[in-house]
Order: sequence, then C-alpha cells, then structure tokens
Amino acid sequence: MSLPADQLADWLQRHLGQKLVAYALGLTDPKMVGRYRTGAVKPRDMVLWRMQSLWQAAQLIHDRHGPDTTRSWLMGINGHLDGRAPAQVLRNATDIEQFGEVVLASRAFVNGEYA
Amino acid sequence: MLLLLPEHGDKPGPTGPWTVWRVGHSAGPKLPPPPKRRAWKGRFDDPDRKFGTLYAAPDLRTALAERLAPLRPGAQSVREMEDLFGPSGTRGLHVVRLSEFEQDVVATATVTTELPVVDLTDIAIRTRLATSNRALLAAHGLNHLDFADLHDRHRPFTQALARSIHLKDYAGVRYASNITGDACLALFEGRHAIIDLDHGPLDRHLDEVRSVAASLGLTVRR
Repeated sequence: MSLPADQLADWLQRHLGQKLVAYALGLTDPKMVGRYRTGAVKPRDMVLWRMQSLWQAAQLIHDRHGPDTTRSWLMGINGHLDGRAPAQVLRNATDIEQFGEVVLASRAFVNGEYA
Repeated sequence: MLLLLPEHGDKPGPTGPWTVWRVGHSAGPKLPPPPKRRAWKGRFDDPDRKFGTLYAAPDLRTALAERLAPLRPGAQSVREMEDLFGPSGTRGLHVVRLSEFEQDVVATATVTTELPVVDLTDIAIRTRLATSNRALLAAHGLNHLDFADLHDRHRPFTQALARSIHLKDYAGVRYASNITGDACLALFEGRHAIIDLDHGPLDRHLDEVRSVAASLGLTVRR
C-alpha cells in the first residue's frame, strides 16, 4: 500500500521534519518537501520511490513507538544495514532491493531482532 | 553448499539450561515473530525462510544493548545532514523516549534444548568449521572464522551457516554480540523449550536501561 506523493510528503514532513525527510530523499533543498506536499512540484521517479520506502519504514516504527524513536532510528547505526543509517541508505538507494532492505530493517527493529 | 559440522557425538555442544533475557513486543516476547512479520535480516536467520530464530542474551545488559543500539546516531549520516542543512535537523537524536517503549517488555526465562547448540564463541569450534569449509569461506571472501567474520558484513555467510547448522540437527548457536561482545543465543524455532517465563515493562529495570543507554551515548527521558 502507498499514498499519492502529496500525501506521502505531508505525512513525512509532519512526523519526521522537513530536513530529515530531505536528507533521506537525497534532496539538497528541504523546502522541496513542502512543494511536494502542496502538489506544486511532482517528485522524480527515484525520489518518489524513496518517499514510499521512507514512509513504509517510518510509519511502522512510528505506529509502534513514536516520532522521537522513528527519527533516531532513521539516523542511527543499523547492524541490519551494514552499520549504515537507514536514511543514509535511502538517500543513496537506486534500486528496489536497497529500498526493500530499509523496510525490512524497520520490521527487524519493531520485532526487537538482534543485529 | 552445506557446511560440514562436527557430529553431535564427536564434540557435542551445550544444551542448557540457560537463563536468558530478551526485550521484545508484549504480544510475544518468548517466540520469534509470526512468519509474515519477520524481517529475515538477523545474522542467523534462515536464508530460505523456513524456520524462525529467537535471539536472546544470558545477560540483561546485552539484551538491552541489542534493543537500543539502532538508536545510536550514525556519525556519517549526522555529519552529512549537518553539512547540508545545519545542526537543527539532528537535535534530540540521542534520546530514548521511554513513553515510546511502553509496548516493549523485558522478558526472562529458562531455556532448554534436547539438541546441542554450536558454540561459535569457542575458537576451537570455529577453527574446525573453517578448516572443513575452506571453499565456502573463500566463496564469501573469508579466510578464517574470527569474530569479525561472523559480523554484519558477512550476513549471507552467517545465514548460510545457520541453515547448515539447522540441517545438522542443532538447536541453534551461541555467538558474540556485535554490540557488547558478550554471549548471545540464536535458537531455532521448534528446537527449544521455554520455562519459568516472567516479563514486565521496561520501567521495572530503569536503572539498567539508563546505564546501558548511557554506555551507548543515549539519554533516557520519560
């Protein structure tokens, strides 16, 4: 399941903050997140894929824990991602396998699985 | 390719009982998550996704460290983000918010197995595995089975090892935590029994939570 780009941007900005979202999406201008949110600008395909994966991973942790844990997890050292932060992996992700790795890592965290 | 392991009668591994700790979801602290919810990302998870693996630690501090470690800010990601957007976006990343862990429970139990566990903390066992499986190690770019070879970056290898150990009728592995270096257990689904389970909220162990969080550079707040 996913959402249209404007709704994804809305959820992500409200729960994670513009700068963290911009970082994870590989953007250089955080205000672009707001433009996606209003529909003024449509994200490129790669950015949209990152948005969808970011939303899937973040929503899972947010629902179980909350906003602070979600933000910390996204920027945290993750043993399931070779010691890289999930936001960092997403920022550099270019294929579907890498997007999926972050979503699976979010599931591992929610489950309390050891790294 | 299957690894050759010492047969049980050759050098049997331990079978417990062990007292173990685990920090997990209140709905199922003593079991691997249901198959549909599994991530299959763990070091000793089955690469073929046929059986689950329960991870636990004989020491509460290790169990807590494994739970909280993914919240440690990554130096690279934080620096990269601050270079791009300034420091305001990374404030508060070191905080563990207790109110966001209310669904977590700290569980302790006694675990027994009828089948032995392969003790990967034992250098002699690791050496035997490495010696009898040189081709497989080489295929994964490994020369030895030192602790570093069993860590994050060799997950396809450790998962293949888990599958092979399961096929050889072992109950799981004893291994060193990536975070603390202390022993952990990875127990295969259906091959262990849990008795004397007790669990309670994270609050019950607040001193340990604060101490472990501090050792990881994290601050606990309500």
